[in-house]
Amino acid sequence: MLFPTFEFAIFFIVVFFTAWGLRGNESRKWFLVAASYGFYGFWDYRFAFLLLQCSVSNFLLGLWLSKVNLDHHRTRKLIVGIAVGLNLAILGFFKYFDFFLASLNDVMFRAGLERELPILEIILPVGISFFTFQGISYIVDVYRQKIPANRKLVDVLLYVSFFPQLVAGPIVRAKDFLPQLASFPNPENIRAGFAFSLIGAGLVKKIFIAHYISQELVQPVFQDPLAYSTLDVMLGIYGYAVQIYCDFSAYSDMAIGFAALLGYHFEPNFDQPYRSKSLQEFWRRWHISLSSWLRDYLYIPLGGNRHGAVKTYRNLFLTMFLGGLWHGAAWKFVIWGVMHGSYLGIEKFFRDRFGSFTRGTVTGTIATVFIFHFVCLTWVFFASSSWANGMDYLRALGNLDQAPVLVNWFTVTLVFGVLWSQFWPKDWLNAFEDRLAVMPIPAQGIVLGALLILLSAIGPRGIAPFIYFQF
Amino acid sequence: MDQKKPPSKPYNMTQVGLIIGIVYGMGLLFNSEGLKDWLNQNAHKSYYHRAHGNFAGWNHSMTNFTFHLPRQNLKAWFHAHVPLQNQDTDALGFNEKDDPEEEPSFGEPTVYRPKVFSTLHLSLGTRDEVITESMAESLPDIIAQESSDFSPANVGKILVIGDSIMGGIAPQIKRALRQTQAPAPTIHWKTSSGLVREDYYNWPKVVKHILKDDNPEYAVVLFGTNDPGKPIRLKTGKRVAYHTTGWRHAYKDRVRALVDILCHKVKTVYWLTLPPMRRTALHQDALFLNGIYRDVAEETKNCTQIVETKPIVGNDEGAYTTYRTFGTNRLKIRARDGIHMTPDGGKIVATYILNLIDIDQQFSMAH
Repeated sequence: MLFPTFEFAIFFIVVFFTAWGLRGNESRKWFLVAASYGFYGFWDYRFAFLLLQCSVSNFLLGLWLSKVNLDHHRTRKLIVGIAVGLNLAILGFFKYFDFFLASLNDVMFRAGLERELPILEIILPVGISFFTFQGISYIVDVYRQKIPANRKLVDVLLYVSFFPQLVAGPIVRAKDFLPQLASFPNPENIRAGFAFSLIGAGLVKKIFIAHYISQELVQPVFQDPLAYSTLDVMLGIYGYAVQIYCDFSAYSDMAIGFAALLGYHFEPNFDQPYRSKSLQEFWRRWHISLSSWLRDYLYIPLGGNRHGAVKTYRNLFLTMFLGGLWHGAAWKFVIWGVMHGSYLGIEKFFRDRFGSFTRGTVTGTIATVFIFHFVCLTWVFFASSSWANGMDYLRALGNLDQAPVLVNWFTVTLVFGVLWSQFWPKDWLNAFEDRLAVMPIPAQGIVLGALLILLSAIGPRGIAPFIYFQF
Repeated sequence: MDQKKPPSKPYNMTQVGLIIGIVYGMGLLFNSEGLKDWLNQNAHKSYYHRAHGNFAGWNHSMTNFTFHLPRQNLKAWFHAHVPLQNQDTDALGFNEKDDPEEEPSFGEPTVYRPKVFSTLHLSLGTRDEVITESMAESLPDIIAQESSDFSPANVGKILVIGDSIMGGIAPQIKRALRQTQAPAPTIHWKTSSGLVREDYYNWPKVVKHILKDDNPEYAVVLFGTNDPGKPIRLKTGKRVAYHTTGWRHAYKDRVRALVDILCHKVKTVYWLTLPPMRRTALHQDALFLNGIYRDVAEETKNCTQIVETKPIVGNDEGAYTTYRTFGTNRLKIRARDGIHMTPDGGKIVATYILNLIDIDQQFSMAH
């Protein structure tokens, strides 16, 4: 069930009015758990049991952890180790087992052993990377005593399964979400202007921008890059950067918006990432919930920057390497992670030696352009079907003798329009929200309804799944 | 849309409910066809089945009482002014009401009849023997070289259509032909499309639209990946469930209709069967659909050639395989999903098809 569909429209209106219509907080939470499992089961009801298992095991291990005396470090470490291991085992089995077998097959094949190992054909449960990471976040936060172990099963069930963020994030932290479940949200204080602005922006980004950039530019050029001119290929790279940003941030925007309509707050997940002057800054602006998760639960436990320069570079590299692998079981994601990890190390080396040289207007602009192009280069491998396809793409940059066929005013406007928006004032959407808020309520409904009609008229038939569903 | 500060104005339940109500009301009023489509798509599911009659009435009411015009005008304006490569089938200018049964206005069909011939290098014997021999020789060599030595002197223009499996083959056809004097092919494939969900992507409409301005001699076609499991909605409004006799007849009619549209313009339709699939259920579906394609090809054999993909990308027993050896080259030919082609797999199928067209053309010329 995708957000911009009739199924979801019907689902949400039922959930919205029922959730606010219920009297007690407990019954509201149980209802939201049921709705979330229904939402998840819409893909495949069998995976709802996996979700339940993940939630219940983290809940029970959290309770066990809370009963162990704080002085018993080894026992506490053992419990958190079991919990993290369990979460990673589920993730590893569903996401990486066939990748491992396929890679082993490739190795055997290259070695002349033509026997194919049987692939288990494991279907990847949608959103597994997100809810297992939330499970880890809960148990580690309990271990670190940032939050007490929750004694209500319903709270943990809802935290892991809450439908707005369940399948494609943002990765919500237990310490941010669980306290919000303590009381019934105030029905007189719904952040509706904020929510509608985000949902509207998300719909425009997904239905219009990401769809048309993908269909008119990215899909054809990545399918057969050597058939296109240098200009097509260049615009195709920028186009993919814009498409993945619009596609993913659209989901996050809508998730935050729907949660807000139900009275809950999620932190923002994107912050104009393509205006970054360094790769480090890029990762503070792109998929913030993942990058901060990796920082808190991987980079810092690895030692962070506390053990000298060499280990810091190693930790940066490992974090991004594993971050790449998190995106999927494929070598292209590994290459993408390695490129980011390596560059972060190089950037840190120069920053530590020579300080930041991006403060001036000229140097800052050069740095922004450079970082954007570096990120685009990494997207080439991220988006390509294989390493060979990625190399073909780079080779196609030399197709100077061919005439461009995909470059036209529409594709150029979409791509550069979104890139331009990265430099707008941060609160531009707040301005829309403020203007909406001063209108009479029926007028607000008409404005939002008109936006919906417009999108349904100029948008495509059928909605493609969000890119991040596969992760 | 990114960084947010706290909201300036809180709303209460009634206000939010009113806004949602207006938005949904406008959606129903101006875009009821979206809801109608959704109801129609879901009416086959068991829990909707009994209510199907009610839906039909509801749909009828919606059609009569809603304002489609502003939305349709907006859509028409958008598609008229924006240079899209892939037009929405709604905006192709074909009116559903006067479209389906109308005789296509492409003139008399050009029928191509391959003849058995035995002169020059075609002296090997029948067309099938030539194909077999030619492929045995050429495929390993062509695959061994980075650049294809395929050089069809007289291959006419090719139209390539299909779903996402064709998406892995079509670029390789284009790439191979780029190195020759042959005209660039017309390529049109769409992910998730097929012949069942005409409401999602109406291939007959699209093909007619393409053939209005294009004059291909050959068509290379592959469909079926997204068709299994879905019910077919007949023109009468009745739905037929997958794997029933009714479904088979309805699907065959659709395949036949598409072949007829193509055959009014092209010499030969090369209809590729679905390749062997890794998952057993998908493989069974592929076998079922391939039977239908063969039946239609048999009925229209003056124009249609069935191209079996099993010997090209299957293993020696014709079953699914991820890897194949050609000459001294061992290649990964199928993607990780066990459905789609890798670039090498696409290259093999493309090479096979182009050689097939070349051979047929030579037979035709010799005749």
